[in-house]
Amino acid sequence: MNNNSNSVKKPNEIHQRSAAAIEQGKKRRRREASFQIFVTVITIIFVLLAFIPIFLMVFLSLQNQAQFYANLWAIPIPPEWSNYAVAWQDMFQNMINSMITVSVGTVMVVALAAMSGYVFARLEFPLKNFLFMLMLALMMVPGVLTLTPAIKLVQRLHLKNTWWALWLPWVSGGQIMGMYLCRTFISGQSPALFEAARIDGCTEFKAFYKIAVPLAKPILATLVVMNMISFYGDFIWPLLVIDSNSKQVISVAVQTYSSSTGSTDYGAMIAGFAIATVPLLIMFMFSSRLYIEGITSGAVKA
Amino acid sequence: MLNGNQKSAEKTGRIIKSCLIVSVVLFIALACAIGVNLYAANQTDIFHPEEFGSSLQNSQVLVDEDLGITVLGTYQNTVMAFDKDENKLWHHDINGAVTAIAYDSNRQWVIAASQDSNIYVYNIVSGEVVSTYKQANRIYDLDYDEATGRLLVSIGYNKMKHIISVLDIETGEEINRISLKNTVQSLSFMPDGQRIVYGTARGRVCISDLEGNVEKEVVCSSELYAVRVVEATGEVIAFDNTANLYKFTPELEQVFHVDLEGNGRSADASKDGRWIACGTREGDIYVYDANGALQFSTMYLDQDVSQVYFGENISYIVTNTENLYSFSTASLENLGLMAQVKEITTYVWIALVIALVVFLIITFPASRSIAKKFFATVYKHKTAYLMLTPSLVLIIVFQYYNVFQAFFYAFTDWSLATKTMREVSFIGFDNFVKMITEGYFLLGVKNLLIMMVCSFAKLLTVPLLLAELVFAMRTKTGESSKRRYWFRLLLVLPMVVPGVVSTLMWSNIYDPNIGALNSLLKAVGLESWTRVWLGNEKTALWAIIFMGFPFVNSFAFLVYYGALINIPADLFEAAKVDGSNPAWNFFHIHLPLISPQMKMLIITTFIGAVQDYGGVYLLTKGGPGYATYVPGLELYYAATKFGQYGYACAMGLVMFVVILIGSILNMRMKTQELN
Repeated sequence: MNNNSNSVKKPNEIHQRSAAAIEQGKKRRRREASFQIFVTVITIIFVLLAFIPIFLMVFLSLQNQAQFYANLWAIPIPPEWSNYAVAWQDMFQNMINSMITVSVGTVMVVALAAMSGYVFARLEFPLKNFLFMLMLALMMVPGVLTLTPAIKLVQRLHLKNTWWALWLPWVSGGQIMGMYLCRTFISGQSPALFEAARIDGCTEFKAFYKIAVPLAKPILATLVVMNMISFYGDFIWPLLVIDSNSKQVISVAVQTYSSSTGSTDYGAMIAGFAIATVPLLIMFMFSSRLYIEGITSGAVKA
Repeated sequence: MLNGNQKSAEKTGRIIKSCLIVSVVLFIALACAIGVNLYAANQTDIFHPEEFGSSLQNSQVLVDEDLGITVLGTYQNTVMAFDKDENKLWHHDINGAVTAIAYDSNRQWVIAASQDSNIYVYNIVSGEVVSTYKQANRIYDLDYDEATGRLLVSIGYNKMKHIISVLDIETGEEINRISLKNTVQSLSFMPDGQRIVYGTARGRVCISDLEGNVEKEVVCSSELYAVRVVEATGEVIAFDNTANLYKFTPELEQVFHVDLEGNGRSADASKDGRWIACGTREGDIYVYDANGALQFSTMYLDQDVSQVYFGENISYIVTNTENLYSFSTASLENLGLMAQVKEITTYVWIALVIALVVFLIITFPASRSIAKKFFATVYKHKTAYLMLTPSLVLIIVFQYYNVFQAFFYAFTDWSLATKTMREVSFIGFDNFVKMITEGYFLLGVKNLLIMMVCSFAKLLTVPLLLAELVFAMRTKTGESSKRRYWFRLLLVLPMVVPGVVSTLMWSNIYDPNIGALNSLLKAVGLESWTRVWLGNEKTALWAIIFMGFPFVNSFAFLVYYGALINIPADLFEAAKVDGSNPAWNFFHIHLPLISPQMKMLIITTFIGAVQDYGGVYLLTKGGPGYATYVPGLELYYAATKFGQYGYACAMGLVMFVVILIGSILNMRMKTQELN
């Protein structure tokens, strides 16, 4: 702003200045390059540190029992692949159970969250704000408050030791954050699109699944990943409501497996950890791009 | 014109008139339906709680209706007798829980079998000990045949060794012995007294003679807990662990089979065989008639049913707690019919109420127009309401219902000891006082505060730093999208390790013997630094906090990063013109613009941290001592292990209030900034 007042300069002065500017630019670029190297190195260090438990998991899962006690850091040659075979044998059923329960639960959450998010973002109707607050208020209700009555409710409804005891509470709780994120995201979609569809005689529900859902893919992928991770890792609730091992999910099975194999077979125990990680890894490979896009889209904020 | 108006007025008048008449008719019908329903409910509410024997865990009951004496055997090693007015007649302390009671009505002898391996014979009137027969081991069940004077006893040594003894009641001498290879929880004489029927742990019902030669055998689903014989017909009732109820002919051919919910515990049939009742571990009672038609069921007892006793006139439901319920055997007569009537009339009166309301609304023009408007609005917005219905139903049933329950029970003494809801009583703020006086909860608060401060520190440093680092990645030409992409992916990837796995992995790293941390310290020559990290009171809490190093919180990182890349580029341009530097940029552009996301992260971290106990539960279970105890863990234990449900609800309520205050403060901060 200040420069504007004395914008009239002699040509000579301008020439001198630009030479200085080029010199300065070179310097800046060199500084910038070393800054970039510095940034990259620091980030790499953090990445490596964050991966330590994962490296350790793969490394230790290939050791045999003797190596655990002799020298933990010895390179496992030959690798003890049988650890995986042992762990797989014991946890195969739980793995299948987890895949079924988690995927069904996630589909339910995402479907409900998308619907209610759309309704609150796009439609006007009486009691809208009341119903919205009714749902949103639950965000502040901690799970521990409802833990005790929830156990009793599941018993009273005779859902104990069935997968419904996982699905219904998971879905009722998980849809709230999902609804909120979907609402924020869908509010950001151009209203003109929906207006045009309405003029063409499109029903509300059709507008929802033909326009809103395809456009909301990133946030829906985010929800899929978030809910899958939280359901898959849920440990306390299945421990409380599922009794029989044939119906139990992997997260509880890992814990019981680790306390039962414990000091007798460390290799198989850690191989069990690694096996339990694989499904989420596969899921993430397919959805990471959309997930990252969804979270970084700006819909996630207070 | 005038004529038309008159006509329409006449028409509405007629409508009002007919609607009123219909309403009155409906009202009368409703009154009748409610009356019938109440009568039926009264007839089906046959279980009356009995007061005697309170504060003990009852096991078995026996009644001599002529003498009016009730004998009670408990799990707390006592046998007691009460007269008609519930006064205690006599009382014997023995050394084990009572598992079965039989009766000799001629001699007036009560025969009680106990887990202390003895059979006690008492006189029912005086309570004097007639004799005591010592057996070789724990007694599971007992039956008595009055005609032959023989006792049938099931004695278990272990899972593989079990015997059935036939004893003489006068002398206690063993007449026959049958050796078996698995446990027999229940047995009975056949009416002829020459054959017996028993059920094994392998789910077999066997009829054999007194020498143990099996005549007939039939396989049920699981371990049999009750095998009873109908005195009049010789038919066999069997109830197994997975709650399958069977009735067999005396030749063990199946008459009926029902698969019930829960775990089977006890069953019996009335002496004439007209009624069969069974009770589960969950406290459900089912009553069937001789053909297997369900007459009645109830779920409200909510406790282990240890015996169903059929008497001539008075019958009992004995539960594993102090609660004892009596019912008159005659009341079973029209129980099935009444249960049906009750169910039907319940639907009928609900339907009638709806119809009545509808007609009353139609009757009055004002309410009619309001109703019309209401339905028009609902219909107009039907898509919105329909799409919200599943969500709302789930929220109300699985969230709000529980929330209100928790608020209510926080002020009650609901616990394992008060298993029926009728017994739960209101105790004001006692649970909250207990939190302060008992100390475990407060003990946890200190640890929680330390952990919470640390989790805020973790949240606000590393993920933000990484987001800034990745955001700062540029090439000469502009943003380095490739490098950003790969680092973003690598930083998010550790998220796929399930929480349980990473926690257990860290527990492994901390292991004193084979853990990576100690062996690393040894490898670099710092042997003196090695610790039992999770077993040492000084280090346990910090070991838990340090878990997850270097605290790359993938979600927080992405949220920060998302906020940074969404800052409009012209803001930086403008700042550049003003001669900004990175630090100035950070404090004046980045921080204010990512503050909504930061607030969201802070509040979710706060909500998560207040109630979190999963990590502590997996790593130390609160130990060593109480070094890592947190309130959430105390709540979890109260809700599960200790069965102090009311107390658990109260703790949940306190945490809810803390979270609510935190959230409100957070929102306040936001509004102030806006101002």
